[in-house]
Amino acid sequence: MPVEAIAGKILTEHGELTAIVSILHDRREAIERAALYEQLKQASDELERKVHAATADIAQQNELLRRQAFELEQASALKSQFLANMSHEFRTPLNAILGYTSMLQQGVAGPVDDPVKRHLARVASNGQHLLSIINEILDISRIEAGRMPLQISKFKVPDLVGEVLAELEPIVRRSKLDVSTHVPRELTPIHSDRQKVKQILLNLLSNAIKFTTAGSVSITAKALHGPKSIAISVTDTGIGIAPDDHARIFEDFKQLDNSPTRAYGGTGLGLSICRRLAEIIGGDISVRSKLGKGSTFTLTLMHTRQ
Amino acid sequence: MKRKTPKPTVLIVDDYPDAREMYGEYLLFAGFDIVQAGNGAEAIERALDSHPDVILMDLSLPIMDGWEATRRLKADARTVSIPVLAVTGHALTGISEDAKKAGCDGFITKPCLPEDLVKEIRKVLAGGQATDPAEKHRPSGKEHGKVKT
Repeated sequence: MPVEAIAGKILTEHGELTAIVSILHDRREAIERAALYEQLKQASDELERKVHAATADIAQQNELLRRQAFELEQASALKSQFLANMSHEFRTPLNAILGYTSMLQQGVAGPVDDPVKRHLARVASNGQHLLSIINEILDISRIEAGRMPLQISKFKVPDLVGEVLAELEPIVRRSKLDVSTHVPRELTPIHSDRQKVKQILLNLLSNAIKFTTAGSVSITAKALHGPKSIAISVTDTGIGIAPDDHARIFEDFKQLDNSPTRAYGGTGLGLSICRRLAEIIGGDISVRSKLGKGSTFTLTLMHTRQ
Repeated sequence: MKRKTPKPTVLIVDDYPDAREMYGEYLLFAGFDIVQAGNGAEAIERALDSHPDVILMDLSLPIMDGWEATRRLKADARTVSIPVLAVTGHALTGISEDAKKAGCDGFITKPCLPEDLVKEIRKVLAGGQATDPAEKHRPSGKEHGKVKT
């Protein structure tokens, strides 16, 4: 047994030894404590080493992330530049295709029979469709590159809705749908980016027509009380969207039916562009829909000052 | 097409022969006289020797680009008064502003149908301001502060 002993002499006044007192102290506990302390110290050192190592690791990973973020940014800029260049390269031949088609239709090169005219009309409309796809892709790359600056002006929503309808008039007529508007003339004019709002509405309305084979499409606008000051809705009686898919339709290149035999054309970029445009102007797009019953897309806007 | 005045002359500057010849053929059909150039340097030569009433200027060109050619035309007293319409396949923001800065009087995005181009030329010849016909199809493209349609 490890023992610590302390001994003391007890002397008389004259210095004679009268007694010896020994105190024996059991050292086991102290030794154990010392051992424990040693272990604790080792563990603490180990922990400190680990913390140091982990900190260095984190620093390294941060550096790596920073580098990766930079590389991603560069890749994204390159992608945007590439898309812009491709857009130019697509436009050049498309210009000749659409131009010569139109000249043939007008009989610039001589009279054209009706069946040929019908075929030429197909060439023209497919060319225009290709152009709209190229424009959508370019829009996405512009938005991603931050090259869609806000241009705020004061405008009347009823006028804008009228313009949108006028522009889609040929599609509306072909669709044979009952297209109506419920937009009160007395709505307070709004400060926002007119072109972006128009693009969103054009897109929502042409989507509504595209995905509705029978029934009606209506545009409704109303004033709101809150931070958002106006809501514009496009309601259709078309194919509708299942609840699980409500979020997915706003993603890039997502059309719910992406199969080769899908029934509806398009890039799948339209709603993604709408959502991004809405974000740029401080607005929001939401959807309410029932499969097979129809959909309502609502754009809410607020007054924006530049 | 009957015109009382002599036919206006249009200088078509484009390095892409199919575009140049297409617009050329249509402009002849629509009652204009045409002169053609395949690059910016040639455009300046043709502007000086044939005094066109309006110049259609592609921007991406070999030898001398359309921006530089326009700057030079607008810096020269002999050609400064000829309206220059930029006709380009570039559709990014900034391109149209750069074209305006270089001195272009109007900006048209390709694809542009020949008949739409003729409308713009007539508008410019009548002293009006050109509006990009592509705006109709590109609602987002209104970035160069143009006249409302």
